[in-house]
Amino acid sequence: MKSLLRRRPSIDESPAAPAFDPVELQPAPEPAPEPKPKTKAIRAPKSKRTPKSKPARVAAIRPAPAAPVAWAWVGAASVVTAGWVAATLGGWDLPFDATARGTAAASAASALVGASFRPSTRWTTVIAVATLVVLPLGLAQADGGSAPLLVATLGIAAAAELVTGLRKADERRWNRLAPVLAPAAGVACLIGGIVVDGGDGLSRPLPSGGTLAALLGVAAAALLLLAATLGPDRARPLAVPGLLIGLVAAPGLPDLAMAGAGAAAAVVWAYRAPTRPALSLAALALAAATVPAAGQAAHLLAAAAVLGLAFAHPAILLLGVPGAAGLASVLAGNEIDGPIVVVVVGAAATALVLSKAIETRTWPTPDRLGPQLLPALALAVWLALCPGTWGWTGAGGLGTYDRGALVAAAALLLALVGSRARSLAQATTSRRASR
Amino acid sequence: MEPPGPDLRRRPTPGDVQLTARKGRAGNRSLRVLPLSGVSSEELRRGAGVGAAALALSSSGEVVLLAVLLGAAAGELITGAVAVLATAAAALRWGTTSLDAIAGAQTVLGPAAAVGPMAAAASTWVAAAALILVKARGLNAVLFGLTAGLIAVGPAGALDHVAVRVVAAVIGAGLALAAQRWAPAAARPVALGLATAAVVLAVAA
Repeated sequence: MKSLLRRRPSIDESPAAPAFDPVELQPAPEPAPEPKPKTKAIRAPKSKRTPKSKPARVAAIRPAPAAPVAWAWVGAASVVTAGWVAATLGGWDLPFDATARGTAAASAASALVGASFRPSTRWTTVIAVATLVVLPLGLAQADGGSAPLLVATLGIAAAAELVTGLRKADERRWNRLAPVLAPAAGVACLIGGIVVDGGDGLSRPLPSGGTLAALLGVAAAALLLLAATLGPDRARPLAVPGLLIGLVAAPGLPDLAMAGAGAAAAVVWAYRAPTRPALSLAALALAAATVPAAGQAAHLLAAAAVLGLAFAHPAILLLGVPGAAGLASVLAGNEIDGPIVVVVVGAAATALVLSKAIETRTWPTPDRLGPQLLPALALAVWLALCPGTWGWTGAGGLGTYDRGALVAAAALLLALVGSRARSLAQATTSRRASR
Repeated sequence: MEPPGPDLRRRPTPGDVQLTARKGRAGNRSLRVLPLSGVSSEELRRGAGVGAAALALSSSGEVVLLAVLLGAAAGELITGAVAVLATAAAALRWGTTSLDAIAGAQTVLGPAAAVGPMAAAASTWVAAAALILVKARGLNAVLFGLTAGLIAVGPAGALDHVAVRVVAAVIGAGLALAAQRWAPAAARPVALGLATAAVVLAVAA
C-alpha cells in the first residue's frame, strides 16, 4: 500500500498493467524502491530537529543578502561618469586644464574602473574610490601636455579591467567577453580622445579626413555598449562613455550608411533580445546623431538607453517615446531627407518588433523593485513625462510634449483610481448581499 | 476520545514554519516599492485609452504620444500600426507634430478634410477612414472614431469651432461603432492599406 501511495501511474503507462491485479485483488509486486532525492525536502517541525536558538534558524532560512557594496560602487561610478559627461556636454568651466578629449577619455576610464573593481575590504574601497576620483583628474591634466602619461594611464585601466574580469569565476559570460572587450575598451578610450582631438566642446566638427577615426570610434562605442548590455551589473556604466564616444564619432561617417546601419542594428537586436531593448535605443541614438537637426532626439534616445539598462523588460521601449517625438518633429518640419527617413522607419520597425514580442509572450509583472532601482526609476519617469526639462539634450522644443504627457498621465491615473473605486464598491456591495 | 472541536488549531505546515521564521508572508524578500501587483494590463490599457481621449479632445501633446497611447489601448499590432500611420499622415499633412498646432491650423485655414491641396485633403479622408475601419475592440472603437473625427474636422478656439469639433467627434465615434459591428473581417487589412496610402498621399502633397 505504501508503494501505491508513493507511486502513481503516469499517463504514459499502459492501462493493461495496473498496479492492482483486478482479478485476484492482490497487490502487484512492489516496484523497486526509488532512489532518494539528493535535495533535502522541507520537514515538518519536530522537537528533536528544531534548532535550539531561533536566530540560528532564521539565518538558515533567510536568503543570501545582496551585495550592497557592489551596487553602491556601480552607483558611484555612474555618478562620476555622468558628471564628466555633463561637464563635457555643458561646456562647464572645470577647475583644471580639461578639454573634450580629456573629459571623454576620463569618463571612459572612470566607467572602466567602475566596471572592473568590486571592493570587498576597507583598503580596496579606499583605493578604488581614490582611483575613481584621481584617475580622471590625472587624465584631464595629462591631456594638457603629456600624451604618454595619458596612454599609460589608459593602458593600466584597460589591463586592470582585463585581469579583474578574468578572475571572476562566477560570471562565465563576462569571462568569455573580457579578453575581447577589455582591450577594446582601452582602445575605445584612446579613440575617444583622438576623435575629439583639440576640440573645446562636442559641437566641434571632426578634422578633415577623419572618416577612419570616426569609424573606429563608432566601433569602439559599439563594443562598449555590448559590454554594458551583456556584462554584469557593474558594467552598466560603460554605456555612458560608449554613447558619448558614439555620438561624437557618428556624424563623421556617411550619414545614410550610418543611419541605415544603426536602424538595422536596432531592429535586429530587438528581434534577438527583446528583454534588453536598451541596445536598440542606443543604436537608434547613434543613427539619429548623423542627422544634423536631430541632435536633441539623439541625446534623448541615448538617455533612454542608459536608463533602460537598469530594467529588463521590452516595455522600456516607452522611454524612447520622447526621442521618437523629436525624430517625428524633425521629419514633419523639414525637407524629407534620406537619413531621417531611414532612422524613423528603423524606429518604427523596432517598435513593431518589440510590440510583437510584448503581444505574443507573457512577461513577468514588475511588481517588486529593489531599492537600488529607485533612482533609475525616478529618472525614467522624469524622462518619459518631462523631456523638455532635460536642457542638456539640446534646444528645448518639447514643451508641447510635456503638456500632453502630463495630461495623459493625469487621465491615466484618474482612470486607475476610478477603476479601483468601482471594484471596491462592487466588493462592498457583494459583501453586504452575502450577509 | 472526543473528536477535535472547531477551535482546535491545526498543526503548522512546513510553509507556516518558514513564514513564521521569516516574520512575514511569502515573497517579502525585497522591499515593496511599487504596489503594481494589483494593476492588471487591462486596467493599464483602459487608462491609456482614457489618456489618448484626453489628448485628442484637448488637442494637447504630440502626435507620437497620441499614437503610442492609441496603440497601447488597442493592444493589437494591426490596430496600433494603423493608429501610428494615420496620425503620422496627419502630422505630415500639416508639417507639425503638435496637436495644438494642428488644431490651430484648422481653426485658421479650415477643416483638414476640406482644405486643399487635393492630395492633402485626400490623405486626411483616407486616414480617418482607416481609423474607423480598423475595428478596434470594445470601447476602443469609440476612441478611434473620436480621433478620426478630430483629425478630419478638428478646429479649436471659438465656441462655434468647438461645436463643429464635437459634432465631428460624435460622427466619427458613431461610424467606428457601426464599422465594428457590421464591417467584415477583411476591413482590418484594408484599413492598414488605407493608412499606408494616407502617409503616401501626405508626403506627395
